[in-house]
Amino acid sequence: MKNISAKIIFGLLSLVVMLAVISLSVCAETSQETATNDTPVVTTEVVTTEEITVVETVASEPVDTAPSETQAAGEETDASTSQEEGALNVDFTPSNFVANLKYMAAGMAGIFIVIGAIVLCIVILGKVTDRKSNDEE
Amino acid sequence: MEFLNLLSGLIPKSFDWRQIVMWIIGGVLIYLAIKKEMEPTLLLPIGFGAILVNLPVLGDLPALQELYNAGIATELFPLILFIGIGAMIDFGPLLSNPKLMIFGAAAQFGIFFTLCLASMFFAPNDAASIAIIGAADGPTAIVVADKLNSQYLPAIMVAAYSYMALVPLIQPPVIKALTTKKERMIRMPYTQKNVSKTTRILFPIIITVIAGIAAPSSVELVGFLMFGNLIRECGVLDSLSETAQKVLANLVTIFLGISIATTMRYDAFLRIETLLILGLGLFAFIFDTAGGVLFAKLLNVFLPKDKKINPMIGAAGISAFPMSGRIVHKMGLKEDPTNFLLMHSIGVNVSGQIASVIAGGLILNFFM
Repeated sequence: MKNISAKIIFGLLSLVVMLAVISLSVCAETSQETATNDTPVVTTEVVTTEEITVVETVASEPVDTAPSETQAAGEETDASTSQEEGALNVDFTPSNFVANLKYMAAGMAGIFIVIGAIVLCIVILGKVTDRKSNDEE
Repeated sequence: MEFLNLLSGLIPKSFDWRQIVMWIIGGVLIYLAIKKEMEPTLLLPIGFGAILVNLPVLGDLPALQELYNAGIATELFPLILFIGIGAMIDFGPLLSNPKLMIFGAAAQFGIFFTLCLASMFFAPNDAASIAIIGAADGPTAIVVADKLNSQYLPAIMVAAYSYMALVPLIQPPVIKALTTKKERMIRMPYTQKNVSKTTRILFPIIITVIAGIAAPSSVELVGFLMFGNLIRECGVLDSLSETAQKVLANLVTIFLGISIATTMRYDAFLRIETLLILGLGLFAFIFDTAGGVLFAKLLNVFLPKDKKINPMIGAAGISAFPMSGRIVHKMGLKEDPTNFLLMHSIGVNVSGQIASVIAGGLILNFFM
């Protein structure tokens, strides 16, 4: 009975943590969309005249585009918006979890291989030193 | 009037309410360090430093900044601390039963799982730096986060050291949730094997060579750790070994703690991302524990009845030495007062130290 309640508690705690993480990410997405829609798009043109480089900045009406396009076009404004107080400076990209599974596989395989090599060396070393001490005796 | 002008000149112009919040956080860290004795060697200087750097002064504190540049930005302090840590560790229990090292490897699962989770929210370098909280090793976390230029170093440090101190609270519920009473009562008899001095001397050298070849980015961390151990085991440098274990480790710990605090300015620390990082760090510890325990259970499927492994020792594979080993031993005694798991759990715990450093090196290999 105790084991079952421990499992239930553990499951509930995991659920709460996951919900907190997801809700934070939803807030992040919402605040990013709000920042995108409200902020005028700033386009920057670089004009080079002989040795003088002039950067002309033109503000235009906000355009309802995909977040990535807006980010590319309005990089400066988005950067300043995202650094405002309380704004969440993260992008929720669930596909990255799957994309990074390869690192998990490679990392775990790498650790086991390295540790396996170390264990093998220690076992061989132990046998060699044991043999030497037996010969001396 | 002149007097009032003089008095008003004393009032700091740059004052933010968030600085008061940081004073409170610093106070909480100091309270935890002193009253609850949670990693006081680091939480106390970090807590005090958090108050110090958030006082309304003009500009940065040059002395602290110099300390940070000299010791943290160059990764010198954590590496020197590793010499002291290496000198403190006795690899004897591990060398007498080297197969225990595989549990140290399994218990690093949480690092890579957290990497996948964190990558959903953060850039790759930040996600990797957050994941290394699961190494349960402060110097490794500092070195990795610094090399990857993570902007969340202060939050990562506070998370790493706080969770290391919270291991007695985090691990037992996870272990109990994943094991049955019968499994926790599995006895593992310990037969003491003498480990030759040659083995003890060659061990740190072999580890350094293997880790350096397999994970070159970890060679600094592994090298300094093993150098400390070599000083201890060689038998001809007792005074250096004692200095490394006590004076050097304590001195560097003081500087490390106060230097880390320079990054705890309110504008860098009081962000919603800090909460997310604390949550992900907790996940890393939980899945580290789960990884070790579940691996032991998996092995038990293939082992004969009289050679079963107590799955709790898998949980000791994190780098929180010697706390994790003692926790597993106590949990074993609780189930069966005649079941002594200490030598096995400490052996696994020690292997976790090595495995966590190798994991850090692999993370650097992937993302640098």
